[in-house]
Amino acid sequence: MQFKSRIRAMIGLSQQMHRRGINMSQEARDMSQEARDAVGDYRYGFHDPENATIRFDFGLSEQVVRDISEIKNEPHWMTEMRVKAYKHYISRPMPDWGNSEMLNSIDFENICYYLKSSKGSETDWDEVPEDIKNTFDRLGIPNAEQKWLGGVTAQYESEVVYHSIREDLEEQGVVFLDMDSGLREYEDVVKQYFGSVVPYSDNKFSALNTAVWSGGSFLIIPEGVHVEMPVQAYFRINSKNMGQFERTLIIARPGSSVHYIEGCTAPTYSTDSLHSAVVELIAEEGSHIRYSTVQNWSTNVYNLVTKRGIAYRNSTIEWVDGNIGSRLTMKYPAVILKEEGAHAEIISVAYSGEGQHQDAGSKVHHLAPNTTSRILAKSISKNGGRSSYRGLVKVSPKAHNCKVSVVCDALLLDADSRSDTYPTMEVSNQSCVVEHEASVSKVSGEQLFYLMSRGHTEEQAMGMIINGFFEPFTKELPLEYASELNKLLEMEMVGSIG
Amino acid sequence: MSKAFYASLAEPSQAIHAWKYTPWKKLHPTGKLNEVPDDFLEAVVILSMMDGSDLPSGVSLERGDDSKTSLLQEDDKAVAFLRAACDGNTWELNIEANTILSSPLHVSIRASGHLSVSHIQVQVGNNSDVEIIWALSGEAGWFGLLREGIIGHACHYHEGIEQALSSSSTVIRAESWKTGRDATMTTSLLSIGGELVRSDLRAILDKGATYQQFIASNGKGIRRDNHHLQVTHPVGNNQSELVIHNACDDKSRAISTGRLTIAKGADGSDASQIFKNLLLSQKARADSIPELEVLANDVSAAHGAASAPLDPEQMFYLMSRGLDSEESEGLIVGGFLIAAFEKLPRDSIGNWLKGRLAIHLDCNLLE
Repeated sequence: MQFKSRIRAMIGLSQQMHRRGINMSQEARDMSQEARDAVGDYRYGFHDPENATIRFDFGLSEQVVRDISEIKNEPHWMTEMRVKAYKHYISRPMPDWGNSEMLNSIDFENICYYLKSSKGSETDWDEVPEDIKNTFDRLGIPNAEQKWLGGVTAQYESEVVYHSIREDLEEQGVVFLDMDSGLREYEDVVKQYFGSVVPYSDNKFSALNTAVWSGGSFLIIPEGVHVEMPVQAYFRINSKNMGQFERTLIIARPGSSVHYIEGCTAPTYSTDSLHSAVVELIAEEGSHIRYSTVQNWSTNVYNLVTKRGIAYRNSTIEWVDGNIGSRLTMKYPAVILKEEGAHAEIISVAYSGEGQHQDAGSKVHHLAPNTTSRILAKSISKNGGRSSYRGLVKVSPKAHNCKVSVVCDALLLDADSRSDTYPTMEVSNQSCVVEHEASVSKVSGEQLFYLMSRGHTEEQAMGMIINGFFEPFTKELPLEYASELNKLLEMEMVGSIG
Repeated sequence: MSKAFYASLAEPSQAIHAWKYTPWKKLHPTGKLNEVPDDFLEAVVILSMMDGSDLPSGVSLERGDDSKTSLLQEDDKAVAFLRAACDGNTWELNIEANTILSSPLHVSIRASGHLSVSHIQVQVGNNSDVEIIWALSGEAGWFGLLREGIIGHACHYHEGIEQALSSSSTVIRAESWKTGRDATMTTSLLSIGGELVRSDLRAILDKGATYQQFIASNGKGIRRDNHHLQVTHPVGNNQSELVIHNACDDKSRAISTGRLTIAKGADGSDASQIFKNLLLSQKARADSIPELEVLANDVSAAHGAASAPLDPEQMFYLMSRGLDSEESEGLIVGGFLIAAFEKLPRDSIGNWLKGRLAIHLDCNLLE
């Protein structure tokens, strides 16, 4: 039987069950067996058998949105918000900026919008289904949790399969849950803040996320509590043609601080998957949130993410954003400096290899006096890859005495690659100081010569220069992440010479 | 180009970099977007020598031919409108090959009446060395200027432009230039006229060419000055430099958008753009979007942008020497604007622009 007609047959078979929101996984598992074996150089390109307990058919409709909400037994207001968001999503055209060609090639009807592979979220690794546990073991998550993390959330496909938090943090009142549990247990808080930073009408993909969101993290740091060890979320897409739409909400109460880290990987398939998350941060007076991302999706994943934070009086929001994987990333972490003395810091690095386009950047809105921001963006393009920095700095008329610094550096490693810089600075206040500088160049021959004259091969020398180029980013990460990132970059650099 | 062709073009989307901030509906003289009014007057164009001598042989200004291949963006709404408004009338400024002038040429363009327009095609022959002062003046309520030019191989072409139309005018400029191999082109613009100004200035460089664009813009009242600069390096071993200095006072707004494109294989290109804004009042506004698109790796491409208020130390220094605050501010603004022209290779154009700026700032002080 031809592949397409098999899919149709499978869909036909499952439609009756799907009307009840549930679909058995055998056929889907068969499809998964056909997934491409070769994973190439991508270290996390392996995939495990798909053992879905609930799998929706491909495609999106209002019924799918309602079914997701029903499965999760959500309150009525959330269902209605999902439906409104869905209607906004279908009525809103695809963005006509950025890489329209790649965006328009996404087949939204060939994506599964909800897939659940476990009964629920566990707090004990032993309770996590064996195959999923194997996946995260291979990614080193339990080991990292034991050694240096304050809490862990692991999301597999659409649902969080494991979350834990150190007892001492729990005793201090830190709430670290998956978003679905957060909605159940803290409905009033979620109702107050959900969509308050990124409304569903913000852009097409925030509407899509709001319609079909599932999983993600819900984190509240009580007043005056400093979470010394980072908390981590790990997102894994295992099936092909999968859509992952997690939703994260972090609230730092006055005087608190937290470092949240997220990592992402997916298997290498010949068909495309979609990751479209929304992250909302709220930094109340005097608080500090650092949100670090090491995005290492396989190159068949479209990564279209909306991340934004609101910083109140004397608070700080830091986005530390590393983009190494995915086919197309469009991600512009934003900070709204809403009250006096707030500070934003955005450090992002991007690596684009063959067939990749990293369209990343940052946005800062200065709405209040004496607010400051610093943006540092670095990118490397290789083997025909394309990196774009797209940024916006907006200073409102009331933002007196604010200071802004934007620096973008790009390295092009060969003649087939491309680097773009699209910065926008809109300044409506006389007293502020805004500085921007950017440069595009190739690796300096002098630096290579210097290192090679000390006995390094050209490849080693290049790797050292690249690591040094990304150093402002890696030094902001915990040591374990930084060394892992350096290793990843070294792997990406193999074969870059000659 | 016909009015029907203009009407057939869609209104430019604000997603297009060049049209992001000043939409066509804001610029159109009547607001009826598919209409090209019939009552356009052609601006008066006069060519002379700056030193008053007779025009040398090899230099001429004659009626041109609009049907010739144009460098201008044909499908751009503003270009199509202006060409339809010109109704086939163009001027052709020809400078023959190997012409070397000891004194600058002076081109006066005077726009009067309710609606005014002009289209000028410049052709500079190979190995020439010329300087041209362009003086744009007049009281037209709405003025559109199309300029396009081909600078021959190994030419040295330097021009200074004073745009000093009435302070209530709307001014639209669209330009496209192509520099030949090993040619040098320098354009210096002092933008002080008009209330609503939009300039779309583009250049394409051949191998070995050098292109420099220096702009100083002074914003007063509700003046809005929107510059879009686009330089393309289709081949390598050439150099481009864009510099804009905007001084924004009162409720004025300066918009500077730039795009440097280095095509695949254009190795050896060196491109830079620097946008600086001096904000002089609480309600002034400056927007800068200097973009880079780089598809070759053996290149140097950079941009910078900065916005800042008056330096209180500089004000204190000048006032401690007996100047009042207005005079001090005038001096600092003058110094900031003239600094845009500091890399000009020829004194004659630089001195002329400095003189025009000094007169303009003195008049401001008297107001």
